[in-house]
Amino acid sequence: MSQGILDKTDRVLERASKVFAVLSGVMILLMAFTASYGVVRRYLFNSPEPYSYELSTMFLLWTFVLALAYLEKLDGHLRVDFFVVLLPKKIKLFLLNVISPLTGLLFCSVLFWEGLRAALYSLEIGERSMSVWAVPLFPVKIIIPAGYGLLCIVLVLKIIRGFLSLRDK
Amino acid sequence: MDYNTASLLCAGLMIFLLLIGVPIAYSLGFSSIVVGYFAFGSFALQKAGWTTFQLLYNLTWTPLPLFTLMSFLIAETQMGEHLFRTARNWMSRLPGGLFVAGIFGEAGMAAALGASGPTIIAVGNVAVPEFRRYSYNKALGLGALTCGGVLGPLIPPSATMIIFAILANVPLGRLFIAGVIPGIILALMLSIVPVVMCAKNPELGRAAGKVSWRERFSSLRLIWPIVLVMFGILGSIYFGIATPTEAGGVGCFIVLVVAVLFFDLRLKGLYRAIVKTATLNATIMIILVGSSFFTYVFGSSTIAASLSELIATMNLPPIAVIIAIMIFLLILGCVIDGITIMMLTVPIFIPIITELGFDPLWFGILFVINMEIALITPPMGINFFLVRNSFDISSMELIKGVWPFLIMLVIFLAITVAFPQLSLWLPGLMIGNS
Repeated sequence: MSQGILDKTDRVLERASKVFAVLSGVMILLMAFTASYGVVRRYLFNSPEPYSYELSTMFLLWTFVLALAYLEKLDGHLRVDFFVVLLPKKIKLFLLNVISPLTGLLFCSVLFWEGLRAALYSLEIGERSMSVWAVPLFPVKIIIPAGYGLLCIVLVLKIIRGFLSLRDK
Repeated sequence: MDYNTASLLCAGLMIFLLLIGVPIAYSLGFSSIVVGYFAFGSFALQKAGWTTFQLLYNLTWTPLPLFTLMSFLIAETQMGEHLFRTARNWMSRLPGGLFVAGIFGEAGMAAALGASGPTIIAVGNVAVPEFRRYSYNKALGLGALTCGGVLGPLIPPSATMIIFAILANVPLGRLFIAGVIPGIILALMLSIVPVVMCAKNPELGRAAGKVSWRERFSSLRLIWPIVLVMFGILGSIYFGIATPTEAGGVGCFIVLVVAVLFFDLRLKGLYRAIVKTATLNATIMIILVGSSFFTYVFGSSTIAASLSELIATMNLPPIAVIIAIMIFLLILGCVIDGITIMMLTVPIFIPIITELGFDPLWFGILFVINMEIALITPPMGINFFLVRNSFDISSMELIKGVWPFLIMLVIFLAITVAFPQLSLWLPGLMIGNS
């Protein structure tokens, strides 16, 4: 794959993951509003409602999966690196730029695939949430593979770049 | 493959991946998916697919992003600066007064922030130039701030407590309240260190000079937003008005309004805060997803149960078990980060603790202190490196500044172990049950 295509894909991914992350942040903000709204309804108007809880849980799930690709782009994961820094540079680069994203890819592609299957199954049986509101769960669940899917693409690109940088060195 | 072999293989593979620098979340996820697949077949993969939905489509984890957002919103304001300046005015006559002001500034910030990193940075950004201005010893000052960061998660709200409460199945509101008294005691204990050291050797930091009482009282006006947030959150939880999720939501709302009206928070700052929150939230939750699947594979074995039985047959005095756990956690904390340790060990330790007749709330406070010490001790000392990189100091210098406070922290941990009432008295008086 030529460098140009790689760079272009990278830019598109960068933008896509950033948009997802901002959406994720906005949802956390909305969670704050729905939680406050729930308290106000209960105490000031003495009329509890089921929607704020349900919305909060929805946002919680989405906010997590949508930020994943951006987290990977930033390389923001927690890791134990005291041992790796002692290794020769080439091995270190191989471990960090090839092996790490490779393990991530296997893990996340399972989450993507199984998440997609679970979402499609939910559509098939017309699954709804157990609350009074009875939200259809397919739209809730389909965001899971969307988030993991984007993460997988970011990881694939990282692996390709990792290999290329090893060859260049 | 029998379940015990699978568990051991899974743990072995996970540790190997951790050591070669694979992100913690991927180490946990990869090892459990591979081993899970060979031990349980394709059902294990299906289980992995459900995990995200099952874990996160419920209210349990909602306080975490909310309190994180609140922290990042506060970090966008000058509340840290105001707290430090007010504390400085009140501590100005003490030897090493600026150091003490730094610690109290952190204690104040801790009442609105849920993590140690932002607490240290918020106060450090103002305190460090002041240390320079008054020719205070920088290493000792940064040592104080690094160790004072522990107050962040100890004084509620607290991200560490949220995670612990969920894993140990204890009421989060009570755990929050349990941290209040130990937090105040720790702030006082940490302050003793610079006062004594500077009284002995005034070169380290002289009293900053006279400040009139009028000035002192008038500076109290600066800190009302923190007081408002603190009472809003703790009060509503203590009196059973709001659940921790709701308190987090209302807290965010209050901070947002205060930040916009009084601290000129604009769209750019809000944007930074929400993106940082989203990223940090995902950092923690992907570890959660990985570890929950890991616990599923590991939990299928009898290893955890045999550990409990082993401890029971050893016939140790219960307090010896607690001390042994604390030492084990302190050592583990030097090499693995706190969140991962919690996710992997809390489910194993809690049955042992309750079996021995201890209150899990108290154990929660011990755990939080322990995990924060872990953040300071290299090689995996996240706060240590945060301070080193943010305030431009060498590791050796910083170690010199940190160790007197670190000793105090360990003494504090011992006191909290010895006197459970310090943690349990206040939650015992609580009205609500959340």
